[in-house]
Amino acid sequence: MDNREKGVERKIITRDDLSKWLEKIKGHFDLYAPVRSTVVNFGKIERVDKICLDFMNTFLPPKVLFFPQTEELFSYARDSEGIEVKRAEDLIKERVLFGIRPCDARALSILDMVFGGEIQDSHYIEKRRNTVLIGIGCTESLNTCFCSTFGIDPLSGEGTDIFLIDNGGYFTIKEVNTQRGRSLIDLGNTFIKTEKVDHREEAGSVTVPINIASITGNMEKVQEDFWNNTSDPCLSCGICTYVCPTCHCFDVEDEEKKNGGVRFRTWDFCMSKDFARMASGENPRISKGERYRHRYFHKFDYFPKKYAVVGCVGCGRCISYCPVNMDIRKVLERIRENIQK
Amino acid sequence: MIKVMLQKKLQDRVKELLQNGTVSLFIGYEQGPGFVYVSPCFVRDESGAERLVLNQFCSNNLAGYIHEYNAYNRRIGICVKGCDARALVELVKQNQITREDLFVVGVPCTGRIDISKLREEYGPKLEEIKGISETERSFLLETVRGTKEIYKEKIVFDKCLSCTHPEGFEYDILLDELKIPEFGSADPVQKRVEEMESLSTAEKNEVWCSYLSQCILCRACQKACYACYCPECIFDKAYPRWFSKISTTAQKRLYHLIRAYHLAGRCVDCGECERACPAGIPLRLLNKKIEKETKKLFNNREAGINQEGVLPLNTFDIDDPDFFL
Amino acid sequence: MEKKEQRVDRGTEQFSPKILVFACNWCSYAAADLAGVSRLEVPSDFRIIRVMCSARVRPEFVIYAFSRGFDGVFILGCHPGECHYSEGNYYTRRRVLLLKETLQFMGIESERFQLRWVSASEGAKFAGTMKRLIEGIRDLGPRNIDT
Repeated sequence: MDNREKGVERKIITRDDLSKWLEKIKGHFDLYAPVRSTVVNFGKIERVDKICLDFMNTFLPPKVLFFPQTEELFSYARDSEGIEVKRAEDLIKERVLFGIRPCDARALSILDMVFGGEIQDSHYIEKRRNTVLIGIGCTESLNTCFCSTFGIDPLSGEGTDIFLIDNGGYFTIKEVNTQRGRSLIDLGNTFIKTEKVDHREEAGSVTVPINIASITGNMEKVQEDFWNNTSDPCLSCGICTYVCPTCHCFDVEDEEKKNGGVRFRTWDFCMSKDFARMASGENPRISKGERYRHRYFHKFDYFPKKYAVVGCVGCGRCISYCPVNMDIRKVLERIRENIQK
Repeated sequence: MIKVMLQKKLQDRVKELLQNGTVSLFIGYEQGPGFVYVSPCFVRDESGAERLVLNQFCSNNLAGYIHEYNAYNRRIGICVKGCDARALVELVKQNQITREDLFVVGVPCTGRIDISKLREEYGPKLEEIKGISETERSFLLETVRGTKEIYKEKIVFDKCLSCTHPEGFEYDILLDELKIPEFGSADPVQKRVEEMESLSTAEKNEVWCSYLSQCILCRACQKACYACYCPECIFDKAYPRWFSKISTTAQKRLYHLIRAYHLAGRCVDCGECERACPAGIPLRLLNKKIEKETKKLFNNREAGINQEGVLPLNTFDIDDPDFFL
Repeated sequence: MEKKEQRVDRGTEQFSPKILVFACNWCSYAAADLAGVSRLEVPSDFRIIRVMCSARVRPEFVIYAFSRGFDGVFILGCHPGECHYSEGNYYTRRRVLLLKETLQFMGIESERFQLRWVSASEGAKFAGTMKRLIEGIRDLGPRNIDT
């Protein structure tokens, strides 16, 4: 694996030194990296040897660190003088997220448009501003990956501060994109060496793209029957929404305590029957076909129309974790066939 | 070879059923994104019958769809293996559907393959598997790299190791003789229940907290369960609000505890909850404990085995134990 | 085969447990009234919710109470055979039996959830039962609340 033939000069770091670098980073920042229990998830690292680098992608996407499943917005309490409302603390310690994949990095830039666009969501923005991203390129892919559909290069560090490629015995530091990235590199300069290496630029993972040309803007042509029949096996659970790195719908509720309470937001999923139900009892998406249709429209029609980018990055988590093995790629193909008819 | 014949037989029969109008909908299995991944298949006309497959990866309990499609379809055809038929027995017992509205095709089963166990035995590239056949003790996987033989016991679901069928259930069509497969080892879940029981409360708490910390309250366990058919689920009720969407360990424990309790006497241990869970939480453990207790305390036979009987919590016995007093 | 439960060392700190009691209108609530009228000494660590019959208590009430921080939940009902609605308390008994085991399995000591029969004339029994049960909860200590 250590293929250091004549080649290009690159900054590299050995696997052992990587742990030492991360240990040093942990001294200055909160470090988040993939950890394995029953599944692999991003977790706060107390011990660097607990980091799992033998993973394709995490179960929950990185959005969980910027847009947590439950997040307090403000709290309110009544005392003898009246009602006090206290905004939730937004300030967080600076932190480093290690191990983000190119598809997830693109997904974060998509979420930036939602939470940091016309309406500035301070909870998200503060976390995003205080997080440095160290990405790892994909030299292998799962057969559920289809990121190339959306122009995502598995060996490109677009959206990350530092981008590494795993070459087995050592990592190549392929890209350092920001000032923050540079200061982290400086922190590790005793461990990072410059050597002539032949790293696997050519041998990046290949994912099979699907053809989604002309889907945006034409989906109304698809018959209602199509949605009803395609969505038959769907259980209407929330897995695809929760594991999707770009899904971002949330519900806002109050949790009452004695003499006060907390208002919080929490992930919600549009596949549930009551998602669109209104206080009057009216439900515009009461059938499963309508809800399934809505999901595809949101990702491939409404979102690109508003933000000029499709709301999917091809990570394939929805395919891997769906309990009934529904495949977004097949559905998109059939939508295309249906439109062209 | 036998499996291919059975698959063809099923397709032909379903074609007939749809042609002569015996059923208006047939629920079976079709291939998903890869040979080892199957999806439920809903066939409404003869041409659709060709999509049906039948192999050792067809593990879903299709009975869960009945209450959803019951209102608009007469009759519903469904293909079930022995364990799924238990769910049908319970659905009829619980007055969710009449036996006459169902057309039940019985499918022989010698154990279904658990994808997560297969991944451990075979490796991560399950897309290499293109076909399967079996001997008495092993599955022979036909892959792009040749045939691989794996002992059945190693990759079938835990529940398959202690297979049970309902008694005297009348299938409308039986594709082949139903035999209960025998394996050398038994279902480890009973032992795990006993292990859990022997822990102290603090240890139990620790174990459950570590399992539940992975839960994302996606509700897949609820949606995959045949017995969760309440039109308005208690967890969706706004008034009174029993379940808050705040995603804390306390709420997760509340969710799983209440759901398992609601299934007391109705859970047929089809294992769908555990299979559907994306976070690998051992849900059968809790349901199995409740099943054990209803058996011990109320002399209740396993759900789905008997076609007669009342649900254990719908009734009482004057001589019920009250040792706790 | 249960491991011996660890008793909490209360030391000098007085732990005041939060206890919820469901009392059925016809028997146990009347007994509570009687205990009060008879000036019997009853510890004050509990709150009563009056229900028409002990069978009104759904398992969700109990589990919800525990999730909200109660250290103990008790149900008081009529003696078997004396239920105002003939059979309610038989159903309650079944539910409690199963719920105790389930709670125990999931890490909530089954001693925290109790069912007792107290009839309307048993004011003293009410007082004595509450005293004993609350003492038991004090011994168990506060619940390990997970947030």
